[in-house]
Amino acid sequence: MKYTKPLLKLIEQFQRFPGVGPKSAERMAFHLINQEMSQLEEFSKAIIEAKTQIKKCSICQNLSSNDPCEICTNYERDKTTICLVSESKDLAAIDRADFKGLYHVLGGLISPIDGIGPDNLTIKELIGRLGKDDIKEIIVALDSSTEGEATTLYLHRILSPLCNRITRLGFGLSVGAELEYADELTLSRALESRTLIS
Amino acid sequence: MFLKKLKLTNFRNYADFEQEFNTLKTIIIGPNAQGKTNILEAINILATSVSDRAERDSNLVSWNNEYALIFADIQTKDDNLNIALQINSSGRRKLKINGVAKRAPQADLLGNFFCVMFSCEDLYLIKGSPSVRRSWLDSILFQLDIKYHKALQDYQKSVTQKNALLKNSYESGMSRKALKEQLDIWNEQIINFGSEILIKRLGFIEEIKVVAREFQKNISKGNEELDLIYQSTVTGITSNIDQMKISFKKSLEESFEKEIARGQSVIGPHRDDLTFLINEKEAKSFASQGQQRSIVLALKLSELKVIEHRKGEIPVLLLDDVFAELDESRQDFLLHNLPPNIQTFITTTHISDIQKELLENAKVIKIESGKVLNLVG
Ligand SMILES: Nc1ncnc2c1ncn2[C@@H]1O[C@H](COP(=O)(O)OP(=O)(O)OP(=O)(O)O)[C@@H](O)[C@H]1O
Ligand SMILES: [Mg+2]
Ligand SMILES: [Zn+2]
Repeated sequence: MKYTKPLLKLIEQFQRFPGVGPKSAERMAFHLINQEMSQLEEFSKAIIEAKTQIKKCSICQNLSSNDPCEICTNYERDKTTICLVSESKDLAAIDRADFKGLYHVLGGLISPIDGIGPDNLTIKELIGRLGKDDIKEIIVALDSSTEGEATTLYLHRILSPLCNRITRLGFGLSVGAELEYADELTLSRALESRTLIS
Repeated sequence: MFLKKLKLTNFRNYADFEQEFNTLKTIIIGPNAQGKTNILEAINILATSVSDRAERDSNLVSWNNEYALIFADIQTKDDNLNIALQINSSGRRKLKINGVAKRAPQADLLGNFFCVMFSCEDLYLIKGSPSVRRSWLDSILFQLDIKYHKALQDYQKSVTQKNALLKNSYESGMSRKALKEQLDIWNEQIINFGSEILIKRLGFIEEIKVVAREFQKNISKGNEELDLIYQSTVTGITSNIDQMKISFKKSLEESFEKEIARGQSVIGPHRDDLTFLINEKEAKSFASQGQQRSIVLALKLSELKVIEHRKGEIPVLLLDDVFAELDESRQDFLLHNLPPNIQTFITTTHISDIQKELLENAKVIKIESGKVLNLVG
């Protein structure tokens, strides 16, 4: 039996979520349509509010309710070091590991198969910052996947004329590891043992 | 190695299969399409993590089920090994080894249990497409070298990304300069992982070549000299990793325009092949049916030897319907060149295809529609 069209459409919406397969998408869709109308209205309101109230910091591109964000406007932070991460969730992980410098959120990793090229990342914005501020070190903190590696190589090539010291996280992170799952201790060790990209 | 117990749940056409083995030989008998090969396939997955028959993991799960379970009790040379593998139809896996959950179900499975599968399909090794020979190399190297699997996985990911980039660039009319910049970042990884793969493949071929040559000589009563040559799309392959990377880089540079024109990555181990020579003539074009069978037999026996040599364990041998394909003298040769205490699983539709000698002290399992009928012997 085939599902009716509106139901199929809803299932498809859920299937676009990261890590959601067809079976879970089905479960979520069924869960939703079994809810009261009032609850669904609340849910859709929450989505719209989140989208409209959460802004992107125009400097570091992190998600925040203020622009510029709390990190970019914090005078106690070290303004000479900038840490490049792919997503806001990685920024949160590194901040928990007690990094005291600035960040720049790239908005993804280069992945041609998903249609993401360098132009889709916030590299232009980053280069703009490098011109303005006195940045002494750029730390590239990306997943050690093939996409993370490719992005690291690309950034290194683009940024080396603009900054003398470009480093990456050191050992301690296992190969293929995703930053967001690394614990604080591992991350702070990886930060301490960072190495120059050659 | 000795497989003491195998349990399958919702695997292929087995809702529930459980058998203990205490004889060196197990004969699995039944009409076509009843599930004989499925049992060998499950055992083989425990060693290689892949199945050459299943295009994707979901094919291994019984229809209308969410997951399959393979559970095995194994006796190694000096220990007990217990493997529990869950294969979800979504493609995800879970693995426990000796009760401990593993983080990387594909990679962590490898290097624990070893086997050699010999089936009718192996006869395509000589005349089939290059991908058949590459899969053969890969399935052995997965068992021999844990790092090989990881390198191949990362290599394939990089090739997929590079192909997508070549395709996108064509559609979006990307500038040559931008394309070159972006190709470089994938090529760098392709060179690193690809060189590692090439070195490991070459090392294995050097090793198996010596053994296979000896077997071939004996099967042919001294008439046939077998040779294996790795045919790479990379020019100037060597056994030195740094030198290999240089050669790889050069080959990629030389094929830059060609790859763009084809919109595809054409240089590297994913495009390589293996040539078999008999008395310096290419077996693909010249070997007779009988000679092809001899070569495959020699290769399979060599595979056993190399795994045993490198791992210090005798692998489990899986013979899928091969006796119908081998004449009496080749059957004899196979049987007389096996290690004496090797555990062997044999499938057949007709017990008459199997030599009397093999039936001695063998356990016989009759299979019908994914069920064990009765036990004899
Ligand atoms: N995912 C699956 N779920 C249920 N049944 C399956 C699944 N995959 C395969 N089968 C069934 O398994 C049977 C094939 O099993 P197998 O290949 O082991 O046969 P066989 O006994 O080796 O036959 P032959 O003698 O022809 O080689 C077929 O009946 C097929 O329909
Ligand atoms: Mg079969
Ligand atoms: Zn900011």
